Amino acid sequence: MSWDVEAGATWHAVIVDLLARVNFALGDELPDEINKATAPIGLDVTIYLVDHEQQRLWPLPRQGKPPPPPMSVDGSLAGRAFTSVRTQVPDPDTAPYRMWVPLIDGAERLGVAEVLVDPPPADRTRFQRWCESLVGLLGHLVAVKMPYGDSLHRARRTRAMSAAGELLTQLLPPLTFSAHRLSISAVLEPCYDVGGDAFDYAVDGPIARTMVLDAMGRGLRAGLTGATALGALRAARRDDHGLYAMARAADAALTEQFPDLRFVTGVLTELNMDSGLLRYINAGHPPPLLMRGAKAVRELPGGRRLPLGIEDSRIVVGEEILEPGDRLLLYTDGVVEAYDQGGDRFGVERLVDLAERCAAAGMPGPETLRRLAHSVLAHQDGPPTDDATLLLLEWSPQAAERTQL
Amino acid sequence: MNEYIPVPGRRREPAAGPHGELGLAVDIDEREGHVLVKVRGVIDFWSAGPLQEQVNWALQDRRPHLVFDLQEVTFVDSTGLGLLVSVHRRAEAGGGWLHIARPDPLVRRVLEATNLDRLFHLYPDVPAAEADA
Repeated sequence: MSWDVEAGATWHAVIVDLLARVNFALGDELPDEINKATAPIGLDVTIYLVDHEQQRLWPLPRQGKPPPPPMSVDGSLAGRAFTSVRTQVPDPDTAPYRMWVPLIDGAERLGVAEVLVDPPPADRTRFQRWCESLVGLLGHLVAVKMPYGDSLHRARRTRAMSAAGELLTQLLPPLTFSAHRLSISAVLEPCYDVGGDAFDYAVDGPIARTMVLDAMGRGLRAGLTGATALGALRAARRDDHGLYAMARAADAALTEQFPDLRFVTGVLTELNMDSGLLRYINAGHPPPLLMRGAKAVRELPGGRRLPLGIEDSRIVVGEEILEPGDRLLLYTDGVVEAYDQGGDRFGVERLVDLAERCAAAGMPGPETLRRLAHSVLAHQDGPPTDDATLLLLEWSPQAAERTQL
Repeated sequence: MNEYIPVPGRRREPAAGPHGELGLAVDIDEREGHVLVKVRGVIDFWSAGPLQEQVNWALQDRRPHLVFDLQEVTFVDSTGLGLLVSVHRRAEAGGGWLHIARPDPLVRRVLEATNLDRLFHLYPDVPAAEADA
């Protein structure tokens, strides 16, 4: 039987074979299984996963092959595929034909896949589309296999996670989510040792809900406080409660669970994408930043109440009418309160300036946040004194498309 | 590189400052009808516990009345805020109060940013805090 790498039937056969192979495959067997499935069409696939700091891409080892070196996200073509969420072809005229294809699960950036084929395909556009579909499936498979073993987790770590970091990362949703009308991205630093910061989101029909939390204190103690608040807020939200009742549920959980006083600052938002109405509560947290076009237009000053964990009946839920295309940026004080060695504060102005430049450049949301987080870390010039979390909600189909292949 | 952080009070570890190992000095003055607690330095992750211990006895009173003079407090982190809220609540639960006098502008900014200025009784100076019984 002859295989035509550009024919649909060929790819169907590869995909069906791959699906049969992965049923019992462990996470660390994925690299070999994908290559067994693509061997008949002469395709060689190497999977790279990005580390939690989003600085390097690490190859998953394959049997009988020396592992290639890791690739830097900044300044490599593999990294460019990752950051831009666009396939990169180094040199279309050399053999073997090589492509760097973004490895994503939905919109969550997991890494990249290097695809080699020899001889080069005649119809490159068609070939690339099929490869992107295959790698798209591979991204889903990596995400599906992730919870059942430690090897895929290990591949993404350059050092050990603290207990607090392990607890919290398991509680959080993926860093990026996109649907028809919006894209939501988040980032959390220090990624291996985060204490009390957290974020969450949920999109149902026209309603997009997000939150960013910052628990008082440090380390695991703060992590437990933050986890309690997140659990209470999420449970109330899934029980169909609104913002006010969610905040009260967090108050109750924190005061019942901890006899000593523990509080959590945070912003809870609820956007109705049919009407544009944004409702929000700000529990002692930096105000959300509204961006229109590529400009930060204002901080949203309403909805203020005491931090979660300190009951406050005097809450008026904040309201704002958003326009399609608007962006909402939530952040914890660890972002703006980052200081360099000279005592210079990172500050809201710097955050706004960077966010505006990324928006003007049409950068995907997750890449905008990666850069913002790295700027905060670089500014600090040493180990961070506090957690820094950012969440960006972009209300536009274009923003969603920028996170997809 | 050294671990020196130039911002007053912001520390990555308990580093000796002008107010000793904990970066905190506390003067307690029992006055007619209330206890005046003058705090100097930083109230943070490392110093909040020791400060709590020093004021615990005053909170045992039947109606604890405390005035915290924060003029020379240069920095309060979230653990420090937690301590202030905790003292405030225990005092009120016992039928008393906590009055906070002359917070430094930086500390006031933190209180406002966290909306805790709505919770605390804040005064521009110590006599006003003492007089408002």
